[in-house]
Amino acid sequence: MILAQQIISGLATGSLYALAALGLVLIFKTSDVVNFAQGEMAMFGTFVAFTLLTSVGLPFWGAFLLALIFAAIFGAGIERIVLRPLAKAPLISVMIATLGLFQIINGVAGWIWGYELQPFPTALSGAPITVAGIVFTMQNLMNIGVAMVIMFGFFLLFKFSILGVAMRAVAENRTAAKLMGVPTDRILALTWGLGGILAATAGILTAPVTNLDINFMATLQIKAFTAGVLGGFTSLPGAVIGGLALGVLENLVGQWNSQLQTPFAFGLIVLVLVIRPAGLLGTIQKKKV
Amino acid sequence: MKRFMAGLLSLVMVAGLAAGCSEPAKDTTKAPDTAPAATTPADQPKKVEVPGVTDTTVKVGGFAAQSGGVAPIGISVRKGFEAYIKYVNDAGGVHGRKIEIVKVVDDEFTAAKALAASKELVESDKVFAMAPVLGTPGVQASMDYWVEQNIPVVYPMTGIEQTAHPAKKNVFAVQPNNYDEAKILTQYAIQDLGKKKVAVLWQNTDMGKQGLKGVQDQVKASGGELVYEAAHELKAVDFATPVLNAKAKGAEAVILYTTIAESVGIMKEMQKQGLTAVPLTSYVNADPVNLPKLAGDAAVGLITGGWVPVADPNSPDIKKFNEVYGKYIIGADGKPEAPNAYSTAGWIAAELLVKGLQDAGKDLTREKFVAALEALKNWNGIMAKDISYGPGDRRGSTAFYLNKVEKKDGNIVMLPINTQPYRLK
Amino acid sequence: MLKLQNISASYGKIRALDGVSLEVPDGKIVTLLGANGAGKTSTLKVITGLLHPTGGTAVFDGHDLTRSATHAIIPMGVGISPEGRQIFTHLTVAENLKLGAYTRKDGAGVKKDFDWVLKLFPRLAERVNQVAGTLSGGEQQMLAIGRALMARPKLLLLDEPSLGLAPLIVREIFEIIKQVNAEGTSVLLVEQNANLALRVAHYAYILEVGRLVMEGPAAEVRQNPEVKRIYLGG
Repeated sequence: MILAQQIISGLATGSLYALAALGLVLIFKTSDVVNFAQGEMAMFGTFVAFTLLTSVGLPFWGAFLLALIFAAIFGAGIERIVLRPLAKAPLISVMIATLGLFQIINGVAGWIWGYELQPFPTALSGAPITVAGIVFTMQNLMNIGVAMVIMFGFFLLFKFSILGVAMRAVAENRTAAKLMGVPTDRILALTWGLGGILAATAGILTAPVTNLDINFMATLQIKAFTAGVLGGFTSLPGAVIGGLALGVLENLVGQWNSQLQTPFAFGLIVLVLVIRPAGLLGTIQKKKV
Repeated sequence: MKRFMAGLLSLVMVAGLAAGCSEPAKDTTKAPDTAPAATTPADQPKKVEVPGVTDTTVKVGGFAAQSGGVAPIGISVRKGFEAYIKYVNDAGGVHGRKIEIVKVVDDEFTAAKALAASKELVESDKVFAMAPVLGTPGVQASMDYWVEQNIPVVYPMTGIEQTAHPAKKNVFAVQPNNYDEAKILTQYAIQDLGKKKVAVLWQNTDMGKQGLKGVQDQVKASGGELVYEAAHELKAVDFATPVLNAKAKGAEAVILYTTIAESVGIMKEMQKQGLTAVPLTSYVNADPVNLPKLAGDAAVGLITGGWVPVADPNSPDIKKFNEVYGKYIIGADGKPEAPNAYSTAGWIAAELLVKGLQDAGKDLTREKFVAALEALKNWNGIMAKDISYGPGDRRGSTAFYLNKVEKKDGNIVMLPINTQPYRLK
Repeated sequence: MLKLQNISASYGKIRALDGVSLEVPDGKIVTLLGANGAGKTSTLKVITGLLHPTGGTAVFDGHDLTRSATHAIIPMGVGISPEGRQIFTHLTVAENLKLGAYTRKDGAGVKKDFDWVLKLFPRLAERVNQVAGTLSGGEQQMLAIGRALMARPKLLLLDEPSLGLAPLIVREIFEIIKQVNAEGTSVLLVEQNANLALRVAHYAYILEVGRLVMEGPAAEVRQNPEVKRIYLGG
């Protein structure tokens, strides 16, 4: 019974990892940039939701939606203002720029909202449901539910809309996509916007558990990187599977030895990379022309 | 004011660091004794060179983060320290000597910068003693050097047990350390509440490890049993596994040796999973405003540590503290600033330093200073309370004032359990 | 239809084109010949807006190309099968073709052209839901051309469509190029295989290290002894 409970709980946490990893992988796939500021974008978006909830007094879902819109504009704005001028710069400079963004966003958030831990309300606060002795808390159900809806939305977007197909095309070969008349700059901004939405969603779902301060995404973001690498870092389904697997695995290892939980998870990543350097579902990235 | 009282009852913890506060005292402590300034006898005895000390000055300095995430704490600590020192200097200093704060180095809450600051203060600036010193990384990194240099250190602000265990001749702790507090909480759970089956959920940091050790060392002595212990990482988000296990092992009391965010997460998970064991946690989480705000209903029943009793805002000491602090510390808006829990800690460090300088007498040496502090027994200053040292004892405050979180008239409140000090039996 | 005049372009300090002037008249197949590195692909890059010229004019259907972005040029009526095909190997055949029509707004017309392209290339019709990376070289070339045709271009640009393909496939592809042209699409065909190109083209230009060295009706160029010696293998 404890085992089943841990799997459910692991899936709920894994859903958060998966959402955050999805944002990272999406941006990496289309723009080749490892976005180190992703967690801070999530934090900032969550604080915006927090302000809308507490100062403006919006209902949860209203604040959630507006915060996602903000996150999309924020992400696209970062692409436009910071990343696009660096389009011809070496990749390492671009990555350093995202590290710089990390510091800037973190500092500005501290300046606006302070350094204290703030309580973050949850949307569903009902009593847990018990099925066959397994407890499904509202928070867990919401994490899994929201993550599934968003992932399904992404699946539809990428599979069936011409926009989604164009995003995949830009990810694979930017020049060729340009030659099809795809406005690649706009697609990149859109990708960053979507990355922002994914990040903020992960943040808003995490905050009710951890509460909110400017560093609350730190651990989750490391797990998201891990989940992404586990899944291959170039595969969107890989990011999802990597996130869920990491969540469940951590819980199972925690049962055996709580101190080795994190080392074990990372040990597994190293093992996967040694056996399958491309990750579970990834493909070795070809040098793009 | 409400915020300030919150700080007074106990302390908010950031990254393993804590600061202190106070109680209403029965007697108002007078301003420190001031020696007449110009009475140096002509037949002066042979002069011994003491670092940082002249006839008219005594130099001190320390480190506290002034930038970065811990800056709000470090800046408050520095202001509290400065306020009291300025107050003493304006009243003539101690035995005719003005206390000169050479500098409070911004160590950015990092070990390397703090150690460099310690070396610079001791070797180049030649300070007499170190204060204020804030933060686990800096204290941990500097400890061996302080011992080696035999430089007096007044109130290292951190909860790690190294400040008091083993006792170092020249280092004077004030706030209780994790290890001692964990023993107290364990004793209270087993012997006072009768909860014999104890579980510990601890953070995989020095704080958590020392707390775990304290519980382990105390359960047997108190006649209980440690049924389960599990670690979690700083900023962990998922506590399902440890809570489930604690429940399965039949834990009656769950001691949370971790920071506030994780404590709240664990209590919420306990509530969700229906684990009714009594949670207990460190004074660093006993923030009467933030804790109920963050945890809500889930915090009801929580026992917290505390090393100062609930403060009465009308007590003469608190009034005096507010008045003096507001006189010397002016905010950006040109108005007197209100102190907080962290500036209280800085203030206490200054009080203890001045007390040591006073008691050491006119012919100040480090040995005399250390002996003077070692002689303190249940000493009360303005904000410093119930501080004792002795040969082989550098703990400072060993009295505990426990609190309980309850629901009262629909509000979640933190109420004191004992008004007399609770100590290890 | 397309007129380049005195176009110069460079990659940093390396000069790629030096005063190139060429014209693709309405409804004709024009071929641009030359060795590797002669500037053939650079010419196509100038036309598609990937490379902005340092001098000269390029006009297509009344639009100035030299200042336009690629995503503005394609909807003017330009379709390209680029160098090395550059199909999207992770996408299906159908998705590749749909991307070819990315800038078009006429849904019904796109649907019609989708069926038309599949009729033109029956091999693609059989593999329409297959991931493009699994296609053979010849099929990939067909997909690249089909994708270009999905833009319903007035001008079709083909960059070395014969490269690396078996003669039988090449012949099939060139038959289709002729057929597309017969239906009214102008073609600019860049080739190394001069023999083949000169047989389908109406007019030919020859580039050597960024400069035009010869031009004329394809039939005449084919008879030029110099061309015979260098480009036609005797």
